[in-house]
Amino acid sequence: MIFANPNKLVLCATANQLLVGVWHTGKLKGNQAFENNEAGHQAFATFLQQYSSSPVYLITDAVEEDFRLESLPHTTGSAKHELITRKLNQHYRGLDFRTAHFIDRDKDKRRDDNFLFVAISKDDFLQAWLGIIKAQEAQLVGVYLLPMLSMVMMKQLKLTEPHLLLCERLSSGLRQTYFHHGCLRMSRLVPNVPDGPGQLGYFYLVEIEKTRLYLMSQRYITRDTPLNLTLVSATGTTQQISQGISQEQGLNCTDVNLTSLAKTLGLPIALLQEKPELMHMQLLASGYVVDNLAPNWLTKSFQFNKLKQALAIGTVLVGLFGIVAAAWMFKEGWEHKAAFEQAQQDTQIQQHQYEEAAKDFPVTQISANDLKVAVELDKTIAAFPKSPRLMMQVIGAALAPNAQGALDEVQIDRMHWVLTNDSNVNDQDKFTPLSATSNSAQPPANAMPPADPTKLVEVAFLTAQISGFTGDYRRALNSLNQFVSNIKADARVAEVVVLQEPVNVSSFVSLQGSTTDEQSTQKQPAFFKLKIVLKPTTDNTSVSGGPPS
Amino acid sequence: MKLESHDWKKLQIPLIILGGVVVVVAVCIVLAQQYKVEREQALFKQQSLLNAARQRYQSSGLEKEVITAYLPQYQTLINKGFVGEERRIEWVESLREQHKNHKLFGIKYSIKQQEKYTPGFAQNLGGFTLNRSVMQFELDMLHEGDLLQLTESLSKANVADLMLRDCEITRLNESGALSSQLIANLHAQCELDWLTLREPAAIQTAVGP
Repeated sequence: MIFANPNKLVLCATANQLLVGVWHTGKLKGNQAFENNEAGHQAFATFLQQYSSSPVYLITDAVEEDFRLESLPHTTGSAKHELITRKLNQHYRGLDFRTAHFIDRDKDKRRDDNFLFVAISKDDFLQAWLGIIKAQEAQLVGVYLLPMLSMVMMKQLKLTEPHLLLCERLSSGLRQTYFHHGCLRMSRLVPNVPDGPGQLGYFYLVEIEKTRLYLMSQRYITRDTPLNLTLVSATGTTQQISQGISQEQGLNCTDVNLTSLAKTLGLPIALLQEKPELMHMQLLASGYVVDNLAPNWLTKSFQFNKLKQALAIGTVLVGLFGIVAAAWMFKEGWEHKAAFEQAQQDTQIQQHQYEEAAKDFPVTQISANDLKVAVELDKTIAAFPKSPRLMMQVIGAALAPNAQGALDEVQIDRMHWVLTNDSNVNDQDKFTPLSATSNSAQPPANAMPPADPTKLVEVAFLTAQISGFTGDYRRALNSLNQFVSNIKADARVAEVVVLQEPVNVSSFVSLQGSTTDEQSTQKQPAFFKLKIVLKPTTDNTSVSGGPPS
Repeated sequence: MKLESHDWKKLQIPLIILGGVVVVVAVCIVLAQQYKVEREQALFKQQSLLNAARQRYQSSGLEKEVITAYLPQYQTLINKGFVGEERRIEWVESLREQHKNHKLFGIKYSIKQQEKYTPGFAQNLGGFTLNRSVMQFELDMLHEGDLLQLTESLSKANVADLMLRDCEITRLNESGALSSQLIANLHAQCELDWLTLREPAAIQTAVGP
């Protein structure tokens, strides 16, 4: 079921008989003729039972054929299918065996498609045979016209004349097929070929002339068209007739011997001489399939069988693919498992070796790494400042008398010291009243980017005032500036920010007061506020030690 | 080709077989894939264990050196209370002692509930858990040296690992003049972190009762 049956049955149906050939792997194994009568039908039915699963190709060789050449607008896909179906219905309504053979496409104008519409106009001679085939559910592949296989034969014989009339003497009669530039245009079968050798030449001559007139009437050729006649025979029996036609009619007539082609195809010459149709049947059996005329319902059994075959092949392929894929994955998994077991053993060996080595270790539950982490963390914490001593030293040093003078008037009221990793930390001063216009209400313009979170810095917010302030703002500002520059001069300081000045002289804020401030007994205090950031503890070379100033 | 109902009946068995094969194949592939992935993951895990074991063995000499060097120090940390439970009684006693030694004014203190802590300066804690108890104290002072003496001597007492984080010193006398009498001139309010390390749970269980 999965693999195609190696046998092929090729049938050739004429009005009187059915010639059956059995081909096995391209070689003719046997042939049998069945008469078109009750006995022949029964014999064929019995014969066919042996080949119920073999594909059957049916060639028809009868007078009842029709050929029409027509140009159709170029279309593709479903539009093409619809157009051809419409044309077939138009020409051959009610006929079962019909088809459209594509010839070529025009090279000019609309570039139309040229089709040859062909049909079997009367299929009575076929019905009995088809009935048997259908009853036995034989695998009918298709029904083919013999002239179409003559075209294949012409191509095999490499006959390239532009106007060629191929004449074949078959069991059914004389068949004349006209080819225009290698394309089939029409074919004509004349039954009842006379037997006498003297009559045969005349018969050929008359029938060829009739065909020529027909071709002219159909405007396939003109009177002046050089028509090439090719007489085909199995052993060159038509050579004499060919010479006679050439001499008497002045036509270009050649004789073609099929011996070499038959040898190439492995067809016995004796059989071919007896049954010339076997050449066409051989070509079909060899795979030269031409246009099928059979309707779908006739070939359904074959198509259905092909579908079943495709399903079976698909099932086998899916199964094979699945098995191969699963086996490959399983193999990989198995290899991983083997590698896992090896790694497990190696790990145990390594662990054992480590345990042997670890026998000399000091006894502890904690891993070496954890021991180190704990000790290092303790050291880190121990390195942090334990008091604001360093900050106080910096402030004390800035207040101490120096070359620029003393800053005795600076009185520190509050110091907020923070150890943090964020140097932009803010101060929440609840004790010292600051003016609404103080800089501390706004985010500092020179805010530093967040420092390394692993490093802590000392930050102090210093709230101070100018003691004994008499309203001399200039002097107060000078004292503040001196104080700030002293702090900045300290190498341990990273940054000093004045958050509030004793008096805000900025043009961007309002300033109010009284000229009698100096005489007033109620003195307004001159507060200011600083933010001091020290360098990280690791950056400072000196550590806390001496007493605060 | 148009298929009739009787055609579908004829196709039933091949279709069922195809469906069955597809299902069986899918199941086989899924199971094989699952098996492969499981084995692969187990192999990767085992290989990383092997690498770790190799590295551990290769660095066993260094490990011995580390243990030898750090174990006594670690024992010291246990003794002083950095590793293990907080010793609040000892700390209160130490604070009282400092108060007495330095003749300070009264110290008010509070210790909050212990909580897990992951500070920026201690990203790698190994198998330990770092805990902290936020402590606050406030005291009146004769001068700022009182605060320095107190905080530095608390650290030197080796009762706990303390980290002074925040201190606010304010002047009590607005005039600025320091009194010659023995009265408070300054007030300090400070916040500390009491840090303790908790050993890995497995070791605590092994060591515990």
